[in-house]
Amino acid sequence: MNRILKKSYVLVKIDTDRMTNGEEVAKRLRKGEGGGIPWMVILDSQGKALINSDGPDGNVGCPVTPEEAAWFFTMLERTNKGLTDKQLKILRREHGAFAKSIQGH
Amino acid sequence: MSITFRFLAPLLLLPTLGLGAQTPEKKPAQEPAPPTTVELYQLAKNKAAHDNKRVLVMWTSAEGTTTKTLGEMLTRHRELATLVRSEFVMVRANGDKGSKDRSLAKRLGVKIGQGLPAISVFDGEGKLLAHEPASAWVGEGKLDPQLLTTTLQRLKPKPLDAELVLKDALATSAEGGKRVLVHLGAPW
Repeated sequence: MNRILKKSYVLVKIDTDRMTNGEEVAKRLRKGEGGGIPWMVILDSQGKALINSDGPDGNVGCPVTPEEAAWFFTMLERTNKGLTDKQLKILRREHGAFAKSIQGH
Repeated sequence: MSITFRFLAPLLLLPTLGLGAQTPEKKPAQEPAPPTTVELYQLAKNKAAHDNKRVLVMWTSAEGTTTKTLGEMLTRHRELATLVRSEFVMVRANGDKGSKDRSLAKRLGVKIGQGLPAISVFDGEGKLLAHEPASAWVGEGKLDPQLLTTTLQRLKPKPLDAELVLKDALATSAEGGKRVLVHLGAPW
């Protein structure tokens, strides 16, 4: 999935436990609101938040269930810069295989 | 669990064989072949580079009970297991003479010799930082988790500054006309 995602996104992990200033950055990105991790947000190049992983039923975290995956793909569909329908289809397929492998454990 | 790992996980799903070209009936899907140690090392290296971690290769031996003791220490000893899970990506490889994994050792520039079990630590670029046999952490006649913890504390990566990481990502996104997908997560 990363190969396709990287065509449209710079992927960054903020590790709140290991990074210095991790908590501060996390608080700022979440606008002071708490909540569980994992949590995602998509920013434009100016740092403006476009959408985050708080879907209709709350934070989708690591999206595995169909509902969580649906919100994750809504995030991608609303913000991607030039991903083709074919690439999104591949992402959905690879994500589906991944989710299945996770749910199987 | 890191979403990066979750994104990488499908890479482990090797393609299965489908229908035979001339066979009208469906054949049961074959189980995907388990990843080789070389593939696991490569995934670990990628993850280490992405997450600012080290790769810890534990060279095992079928002989004796030290391998089992060391494995349990690295995964179950409270302080040590937390350190390993937070700062390292661990891969187990068979260090015994004649094992296929010996070719990985050669490729990585590790001289295992007779000192098994052992651990090697690499940075995310694959540079060997240390290789030590378990005998290095023996105190009072048995493996001492505190000695191993001290070694791994010395070898763990320096923490990144989240402010700088985000700043770099925004700069890269501006240059490349991309968005930034930020994942807030724990070490694992």
